[in-house]
Amino acid sequence: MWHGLWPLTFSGQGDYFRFPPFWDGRASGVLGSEPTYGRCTVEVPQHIGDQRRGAMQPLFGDDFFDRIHVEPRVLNLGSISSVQRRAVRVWNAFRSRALTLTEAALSGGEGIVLTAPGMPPLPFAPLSERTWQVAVGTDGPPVIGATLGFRFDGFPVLPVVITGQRIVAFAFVPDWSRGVLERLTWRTDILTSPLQVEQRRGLRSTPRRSFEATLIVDGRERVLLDLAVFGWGGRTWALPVWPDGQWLGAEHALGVRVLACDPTHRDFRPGGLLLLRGATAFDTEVAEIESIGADRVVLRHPTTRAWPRGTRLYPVRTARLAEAPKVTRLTDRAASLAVRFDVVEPCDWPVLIDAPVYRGHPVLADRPYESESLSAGWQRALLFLDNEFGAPFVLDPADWAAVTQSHRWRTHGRAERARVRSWLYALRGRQRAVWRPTHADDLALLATVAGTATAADVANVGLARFGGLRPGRRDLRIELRDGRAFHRRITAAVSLDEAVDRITFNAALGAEVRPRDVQRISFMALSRADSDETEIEHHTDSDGAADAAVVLRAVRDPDQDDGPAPA
Amino acid sequence: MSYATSAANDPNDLLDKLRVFAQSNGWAVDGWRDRTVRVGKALSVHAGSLYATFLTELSGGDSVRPPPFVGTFGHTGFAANANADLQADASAQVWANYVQGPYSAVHFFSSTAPQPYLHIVLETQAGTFKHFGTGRLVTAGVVSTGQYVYGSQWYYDPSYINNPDDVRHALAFDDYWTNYMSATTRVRADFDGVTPRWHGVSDSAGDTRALYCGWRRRGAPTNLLKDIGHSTLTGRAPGQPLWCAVPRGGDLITDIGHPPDLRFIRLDSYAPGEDLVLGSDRWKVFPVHRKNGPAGTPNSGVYGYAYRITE
Repeated sequence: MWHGLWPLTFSGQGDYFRFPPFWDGRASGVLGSEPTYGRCTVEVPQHIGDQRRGAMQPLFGDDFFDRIHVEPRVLNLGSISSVQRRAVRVWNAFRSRALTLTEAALSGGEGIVLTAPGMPPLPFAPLSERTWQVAVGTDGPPVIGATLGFRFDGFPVLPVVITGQRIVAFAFVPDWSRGVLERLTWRTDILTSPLQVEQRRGLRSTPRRSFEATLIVDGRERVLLDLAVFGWGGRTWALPVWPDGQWLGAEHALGVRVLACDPTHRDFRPGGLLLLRGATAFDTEVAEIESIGADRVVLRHPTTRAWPRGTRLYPVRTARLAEAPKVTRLTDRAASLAVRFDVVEPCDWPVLIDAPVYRGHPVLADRPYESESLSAGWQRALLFLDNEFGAPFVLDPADWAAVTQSHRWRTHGRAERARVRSWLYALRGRQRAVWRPTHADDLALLATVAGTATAADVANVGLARFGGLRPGRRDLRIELRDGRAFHRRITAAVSLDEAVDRITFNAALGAEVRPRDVQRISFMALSRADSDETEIEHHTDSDGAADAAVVLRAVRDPDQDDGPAPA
Repeated sequence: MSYATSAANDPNDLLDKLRVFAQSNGWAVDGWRDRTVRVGKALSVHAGSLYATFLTELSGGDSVRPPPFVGTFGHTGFAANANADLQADASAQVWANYVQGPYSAVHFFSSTAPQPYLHIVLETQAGTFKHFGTGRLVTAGVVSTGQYVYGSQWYYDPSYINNPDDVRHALAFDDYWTNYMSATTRVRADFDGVTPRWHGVSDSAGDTRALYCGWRRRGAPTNLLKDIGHSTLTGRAPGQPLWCAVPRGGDLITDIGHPPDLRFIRLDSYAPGEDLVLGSDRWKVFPVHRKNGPAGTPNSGVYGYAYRITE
């Protein structure tokens, strides 16, 4: 077979060997010994006599050569908060043609410094390359839209488009005595039927996010903040995510691209930004993240200064001041400011992975934090008709009450905080439903339940009489003292006498359960959050404590093997 | 403007969009009608002396060759009918299977000079592509016409769907093919006094109407680029012209040229639909079917085609 890398077409049959084989009269090696020394004659094939014609086979050279390459054609710098330097390379890829650059001009280049390898007219020898350095500074219009045009004699202008936006780091640290409040706001459109069945549409793929904090600034920093807000108050800032801050544990020399730190469960993301902050708001650097490891963050470009141990390192989100900061003058040199930032980029968060799942929805098995009492209630959609004469007419079309209960998390450490955030993202505001146990001692087991049994005797609490096996009071979470938990649905309940109710499960427990093994049997209700807005109160940074709370309200969603929604 | 991207709902809508695009880019529309025997549409166009007909077929096939189909055949002149057997010097049809709409995107590439061609890339779902089209080779040697038609048929059997190198998949301009699917590349190369002379990829040795092209077969013309056509140093890959060759008898094989503005390229570092700029040229790269598709889905590895956008 022929192979494509030969620039000539030729027959696959060898031209280099005579055919058929011929005998030149010498003894072969089999019949007699060959001479091992002396002259050896080699016949060189005479290709000159081969009258085959070939054709040039184009390869990829024709796609690359005999043209002018300018790389890159688009410089998208993204969000700039420190000087960004990029190289633009111009290559005369003509194999035998010298060119002359007559012009390399920057238009719309306020705040951009161009370093050229020479003044036009600039001769380009064949196959030669030159590099222009483009340095984009932080001073200039907020939106960068510049064009660097290369004009060669006899060619149209080759433009390089430079885009991006200038942002500046908001390098002030919060006063942690009051903590930092983070707010996540989803948006859900809910259509409710008279029977309280809902259709819920999430209108935002990621929540809006805002931060509230108090800052105390003094000396030069106070004036810097004053002037920054005065001059750039309407622009986008590189806002450090304060709760996710940490201190660098090692010296980092100038020009490194790897920062040794602990990025887990923090808001770092590839392609995002981070902030390095020294002792004051004047020592800052914002850098772009290329990739994230278990114990390091790799930057896209080397740092521009040395960062010692103890430097603060924050992930960054671009944000805008939601309103003018409220200033409290403490002295003529110090001030306290309350600031609120709205993040202007979508903020994603990893999904929940370790929650138990029951009938297609996660179970909120975390015990609530009960330093403040949890509110609970029943929401019933009653219709009143009151004509002011007789007794008002009341109708309960759904014949169902949505049980509500608040849930509060107190988290310690970053892993827990990340998990709670995953829960909030799993709820997506009011859109998604989860199973919420009451986390109360609702039913008491009276007799041992065998592993194969599907019935259990519990203390009579009126379940058979009032519960009616309706959503909200028909699913159980049975927690054992050894940490195991069962989720079952009650399919029937009868009252044996005043003390005992007999309930039937949809499936056997699979393990023998004695009354003394049981820690708690709680009702579970499929619930959604009652509000699209959730707050996380960061008392300290993410290694310490934070609180979050949500009010959950039962829904009548069909669950997995429930058939269609009630009509 | 010889490149346009658009959207379409189904194969018939796609042909309608193609008709409008071709008409505005110097192609003459000869026929646009419903097919009579099968359910579908037929569009006949020509540019200069290059005539082609595109067909849709909304039903037929089976689970490993799912409908709907878009087919193409080349011919000479035009008789007012959609059928290949009534057109002069017609080739057999080549098909693209499973062109299920609505499409995420449709990309049309066209030129009328120096070589006329119509190349169509369908993004049937995000990340999944189909290719078909027609044109005239940049010919090498004494070959007249050099018209080609190509399609792309994947073999959707679960055992093979995920193997880009399986011989059951019929790829455009690749001769690693056995007769599980109808051949998807046909080239007309009139030489040695025979006319018309349509060659197609073949799985029988000694076929005088065979066509050698592609990269998957070990002895294929651009096989080497399949393995080393990607620089680990720079992350770049060169585009490789899809050389076509035909047997001449007596173990002689002759190069007949390559399709214009179309290259084979490895997509290790390129995203489907990405633009490559080489000097003043813009190329768009697409996977042969689906780049590194996960198990159980079509997977054409890192094989891709690059289409040049000529302004």
